[in-house]
Amino acid sequence: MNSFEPQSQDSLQRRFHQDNSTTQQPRDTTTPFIPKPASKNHNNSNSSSGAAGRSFQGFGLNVEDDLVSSVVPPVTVVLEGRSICQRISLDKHGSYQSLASALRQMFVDGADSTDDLDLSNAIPGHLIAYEDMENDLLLAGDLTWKDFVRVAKRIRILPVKGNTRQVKRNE
Amino acid sequence: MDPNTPADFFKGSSKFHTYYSQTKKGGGVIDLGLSLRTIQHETYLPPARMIGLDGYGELIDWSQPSYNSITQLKSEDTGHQRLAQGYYNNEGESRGKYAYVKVNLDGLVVGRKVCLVDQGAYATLALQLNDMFGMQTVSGLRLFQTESEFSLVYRDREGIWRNVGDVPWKEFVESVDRMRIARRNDALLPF
Repeated sequence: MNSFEPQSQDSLQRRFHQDNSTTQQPRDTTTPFIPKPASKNHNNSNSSSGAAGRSFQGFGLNVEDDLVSSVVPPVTVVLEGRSICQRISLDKHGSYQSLASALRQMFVDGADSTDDLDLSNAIPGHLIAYEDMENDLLLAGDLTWKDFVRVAKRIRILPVKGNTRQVKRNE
Repeated sequence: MDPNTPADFFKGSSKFHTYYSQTKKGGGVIDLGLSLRTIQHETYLPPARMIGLDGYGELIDWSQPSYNSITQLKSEDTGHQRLAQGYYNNEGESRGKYAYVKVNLDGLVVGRKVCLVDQGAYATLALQLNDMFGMQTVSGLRLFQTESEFSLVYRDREGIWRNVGDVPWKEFVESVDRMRIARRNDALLPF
């Protein structure tokens, strides 16, 4: 009983914080559809758009939010070079686009809503990657949104140049 | 009557025994019998009651926490099973959670995930991997081509690294655990 209470309090705080950020997103996101890069699977785009529809329906029901939030804990977001981390509840978002918008608001000062927002350009010059249960670092966007929410343990934002230098060193 | 009784007593041993038993049944013997019986009752009743009480008390003390703990365990198991079922139902693919396979290009920090169920052959897999990693190289991956500087290897369920393309596609899909795009020089090294 004692162990559950602080967790519920933390989850309540996270939910309150995320609710604020979530309410802002529909206003910023005015474009109905944003095409994704060709490199990503069609299944991902189809399922993510479907998930987006479901998420909006789900927002109206608090009971579902409570049930889901008890299952999926908040995820730590680490920006390379910064010592202070952020936390984000993936269950509050229904698509990669929603996540990209939230990350942009977190890390880009004076960020305005962009029509062509995606994970690849959410934070200029950076890649959005995540660590899974096996501590492997993978680029976000390959999985369906549902699978991503289930698998992602931590989100890392890495500079693109950093990824490229690794290649140069080996060459 | 009186003179006859002592005469019998002194004369025969058998009569003596008979007389003794008769005396037991007499008034004096009645007291002895009652006292013995009373003692027996006292020795039997208290242990029986104590045993009964002890057993009943122990049952009460043992069953309550055990019942509570069993109930909690059952509820926890049920919740866990429901969660597991939900997760598995969402996947709904033949490979289940193995539909997506991790891929790493040598030298890159960030890996990718490929859905093998979407591919139908090695050729389509090569195309998708080139879409994912091709921009990181000068002339593209050009996998499965003799002049390519890259070689695709995979780790099977038993942890053994093998060359991609040696076995039929279906067999490969069922056994692959993760893949690695290795440079030719690295690929020659033993694992």
